[in-house]
Amino acid sequence: MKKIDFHIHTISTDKDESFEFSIENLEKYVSLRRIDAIAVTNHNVFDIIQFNEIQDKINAKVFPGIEIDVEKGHILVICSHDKFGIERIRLLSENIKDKLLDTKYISLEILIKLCSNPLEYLFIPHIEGKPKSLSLEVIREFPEGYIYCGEVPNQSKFNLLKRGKNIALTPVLFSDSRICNHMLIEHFSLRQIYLNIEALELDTIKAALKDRSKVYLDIEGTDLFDATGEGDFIYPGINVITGKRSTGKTVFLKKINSANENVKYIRQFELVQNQDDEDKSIEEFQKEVKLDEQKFIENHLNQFKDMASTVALIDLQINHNSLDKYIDSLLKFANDTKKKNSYAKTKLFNEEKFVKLPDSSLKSSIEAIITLIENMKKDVTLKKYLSEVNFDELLKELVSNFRKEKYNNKIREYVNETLDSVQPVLQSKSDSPTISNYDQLLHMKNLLTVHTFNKLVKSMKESKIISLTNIGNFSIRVTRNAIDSAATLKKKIKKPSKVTHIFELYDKPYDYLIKMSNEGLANDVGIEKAFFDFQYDVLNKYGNPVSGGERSEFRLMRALKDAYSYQMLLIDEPESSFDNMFLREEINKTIKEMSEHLPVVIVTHNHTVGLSIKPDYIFHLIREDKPDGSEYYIFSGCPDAANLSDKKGKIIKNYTALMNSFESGEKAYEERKVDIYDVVKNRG
Amino acid sequence: MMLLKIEDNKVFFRTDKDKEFVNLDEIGKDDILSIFKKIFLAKEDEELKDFADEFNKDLISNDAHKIIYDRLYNKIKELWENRTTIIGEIKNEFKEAEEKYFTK
Repeated sequence: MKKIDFHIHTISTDKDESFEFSIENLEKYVSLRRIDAIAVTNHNVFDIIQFNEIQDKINAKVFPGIEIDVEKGHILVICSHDKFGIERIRLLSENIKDKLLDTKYISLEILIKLCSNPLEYLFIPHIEGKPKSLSLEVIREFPEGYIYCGEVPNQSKFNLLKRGKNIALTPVLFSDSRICNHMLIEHFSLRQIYLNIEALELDTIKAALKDRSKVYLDIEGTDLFDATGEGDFIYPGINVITGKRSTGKTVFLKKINSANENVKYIRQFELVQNQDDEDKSIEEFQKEVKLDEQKFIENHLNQFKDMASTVALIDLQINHNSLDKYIDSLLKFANDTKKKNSYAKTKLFNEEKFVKLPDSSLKSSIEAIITLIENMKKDVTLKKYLSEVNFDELLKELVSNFRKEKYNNKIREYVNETLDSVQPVLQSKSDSPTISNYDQLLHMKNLLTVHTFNKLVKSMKESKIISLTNIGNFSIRVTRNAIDSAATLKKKIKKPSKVTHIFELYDKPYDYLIKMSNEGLANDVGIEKAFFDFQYDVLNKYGNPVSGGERSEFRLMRALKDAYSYQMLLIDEPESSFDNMFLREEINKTIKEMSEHLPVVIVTHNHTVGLSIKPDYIFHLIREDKPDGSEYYIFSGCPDAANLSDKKGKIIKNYTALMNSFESGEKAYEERKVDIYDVVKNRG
Repeated sequence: MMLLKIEDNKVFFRTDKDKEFVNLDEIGKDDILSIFKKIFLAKEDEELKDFADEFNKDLISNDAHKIIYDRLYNKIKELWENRTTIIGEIKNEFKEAEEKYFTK
């Protein structure tokens, strides 16, 4: 068996967080984890000088490689460790450098072309949810026989693929480590694989990677993997740790947590609320749900926010004043006509300027037609339906109209400028009253906008369910309501001062909006939030609001949903969060499903809970108090095994462990005879 | 085509060659628009003086005409000088699309 890690970073590129490479730490890593072969795979670069130094110093076979950005993902490309292989990778890195100047990635087609004889290379794409994974569809675009393995994100995915019937790719698991100078030994990755081979040559490795049965997580060839770096092997599925109180269960869990990266750790009692004050805990719970839904609400109010910001800029008072002034001046002018002098008699004296017309849609239409013409070249469907259209003529006419419009506007601008320069001089020379300017079009437009806004707010104030999402047996219901009182408004806009005078205007949306803006309140919270109130309810499967116990269960469901983006899930005594001693069926089902995506470790002091979840592997912890101090034992094995053993080979009966877990011993067990215990008892 | 002329100490205008000249008192924004368009689209061999008499305050005694024509002539001159640039700017919009898609 040979242990390999074919994904190691030694150069900090723009795709990594900045780090300084340490060859000493690479030496330590390889020796501590007893690795037989590594590959240096930096993002899109290969530094031959650094590589030669690593090959000289590291006591393991070192293979040259690159991690390349291909369309929609990352792929490792590795060659043999001799001078030919090194030269191939060096050349590939030179060639992709030029290509990456133009685009952010290399297409698969070009990658194949750049690797003149692809059979000399080992290609390992990221797959199965590892960040930057390539989909199977993309992998299939590779010529057959070039890709036969893929890098998975964690041990559970490794296990799933290794045992899977349909998936053709062999799973591999590597550290993807940045070997830097401030790395602590505790942080050395535990993610490597074993290959059942003798010689460490690329051809042998490639042959092994084509055969799933030659790839393992551990040297023994079982399916367990070291979760602490100290030989504490766990199963890439569900592991349950049981034991009486103070036997070191949480300590063991913390050890696993610190030895692995990207772990979701749900601590004991984390999900329990203070049950003494029901109202307060409901309020707190609502707050949490509200926080989760924040993004949804922001999206929901996006368009409303834009409209409110536009409406807030409209000053109808100014428009009204301008109209009054216009009518006054018109009347005055009519009365004074007789008194007109030679200046006032000219037509230009009171000529109104050309109104500035809003931009027409011509420009966007032309742009859309151009996009359509371009897309038609690639899209068969567009071609099918639109090939009859004479786009050339259409475009020609639109462009011609657009230019005419531009030309007309330009000339009108010149005329208005002439009026601007003539009128003030004429008017200053005359005693006649002038007619004041009044933009009727703008006034009408503003009135219409405000009317629409008022109507919209009125309809949005009617209570409405705007979202209903399911998490397990629960659903989250978000309802949009009108704000019911000045007190609610005050709370929402977080102002210590009184808001009653603002809230009085709540039924006149435009006036209310202007008042808010004038008092500077809108900017602090976002104008849109001052219009509506949102209610968040979590309902159980019967559609009723959740009880205290159900709230904890909901929180666990939510935490579990969140765990999908992690590499490992640890849960410390979930039963401490529940009224019911047995975990609910739904949660068991969810945890079981999750264990196919990432390894799960659950600590419980209650063996019943432990077994009801149907673990793949169990641990039983025992503390023995002796005169010179306490001794701790960690026994482990399959749930249906007769015996459990510890690292030193000490053995206890599985049935004894089960009995030991019941705090009140065998009597309690007899009282609660459940099938699952009998399985174990019969084994014992 | 003369559109603006100084005669008898006054200024007269017309919007087309077939039309009668009218006293400048009567000029409105639509008339100015028509005059500007004609000037804007002048042929290459035409000159500004073919369209409008140059402003000369000594030749105009009507004070209102003096004020209006002073500014109007200045604007016409500005338009005359910039018209090639403006036409160029307008034609430049979607020039690439024109070259790429229009059938010759």
